[in-house]
Amino acid sequence: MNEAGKPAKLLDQQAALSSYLEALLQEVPSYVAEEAVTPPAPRTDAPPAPKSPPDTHVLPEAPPDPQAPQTAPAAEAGPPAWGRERFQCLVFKVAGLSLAVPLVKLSGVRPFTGELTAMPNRSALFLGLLRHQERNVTVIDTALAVLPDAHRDRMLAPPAERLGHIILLDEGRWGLACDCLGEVLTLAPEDVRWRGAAGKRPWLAGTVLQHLCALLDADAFLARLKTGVDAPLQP
Amino acid sequence: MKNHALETSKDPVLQWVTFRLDNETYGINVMQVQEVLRVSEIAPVPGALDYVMGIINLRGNVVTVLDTRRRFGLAPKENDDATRIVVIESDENVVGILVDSVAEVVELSRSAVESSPNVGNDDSSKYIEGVANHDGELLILVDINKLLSDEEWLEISQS
Repeated sequence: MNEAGKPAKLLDQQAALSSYLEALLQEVPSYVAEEAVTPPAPRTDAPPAPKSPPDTHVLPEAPPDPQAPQTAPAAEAGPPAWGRERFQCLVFKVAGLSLAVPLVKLSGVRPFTGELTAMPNRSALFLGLLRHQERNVTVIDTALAVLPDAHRDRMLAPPAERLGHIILLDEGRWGLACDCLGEVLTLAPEDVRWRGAAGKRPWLAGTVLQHLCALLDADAFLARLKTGVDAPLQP
Repeated sequence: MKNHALETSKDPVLQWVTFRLDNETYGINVMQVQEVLRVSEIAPVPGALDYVMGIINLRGNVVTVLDTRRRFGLAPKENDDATRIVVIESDENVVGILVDSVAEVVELSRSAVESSPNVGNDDSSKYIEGVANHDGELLILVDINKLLSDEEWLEISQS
């Protein structure tokens, strides 16, 4: 504990954010078109597929078991379809972290006015329902979704004090509440350090070092939420 | 009270008794509402479930009163002149639920009811039947039959 309590707390928060961002960056190796390794097909006796040389056809996976518990699909390594050519993304801030969402996945942006319909017995991650263009938008607290547990309690003010905008995804079905909006970036695929398949955060498409922001894989992020909004996204 | 379920070709209209809790509006199927009472003396029942406030004497019958705020995970609130006990019936179980206030009876077509967000195994997904937009406000529709588990209904009936 520092004698100057408030400045010490600010330094702690900054240090925590820096370490978290560094962890995101360290998780994302530079994507290289290496050999594609297909995981063993489930529910068959077939041996694991052999390593194939680059740019060759990968053995198809076995069809999913319809009775298996529904889980979020694992994000693939390397740039997604929208990231293979120049693309634009919107930067937004979440508890000091800069995130970016590709514009092709963005359905809209709304100011956060707090006019949400809260549902009973839900976790803090779920802020409520927002009525927008004849649709009920499920709004979540993005900070709680992406920040590690160790940082949340120390860093987060109540939603009404820190949230300023809602980023609409999935044709307006989901809303990610954030602190504020940033700029729109135009990026080339080589500007992004794309996520490897072994990453712990499937919602992370990659990181943009030049702008020190994490690029959101919106599809993976929402897929994870749909398996259980109240389940944490952190490992 | 009869439900005037107007059978249109494929979109029946149901009536919902709406009540307020913590600035949100909830609805219960009118068919399950017996009556609405002002708050009277509620006798506590030692050892009951934490959301059981106690019992009241309703024309010679004992009715258990539930703290709906607690059941919904909301902060407690002092009773005031608007507080009401809504006496509901579910599969021959009769209980009272304490609410901040009772509002109007609204008519909603089945097509107007949307499903609530599909989430994991959170508690509320069991008893939230859906949501509906009415006069610019979102109503949260409660399935009273699923508000409590079978074991909880049994325990309450025996308290």
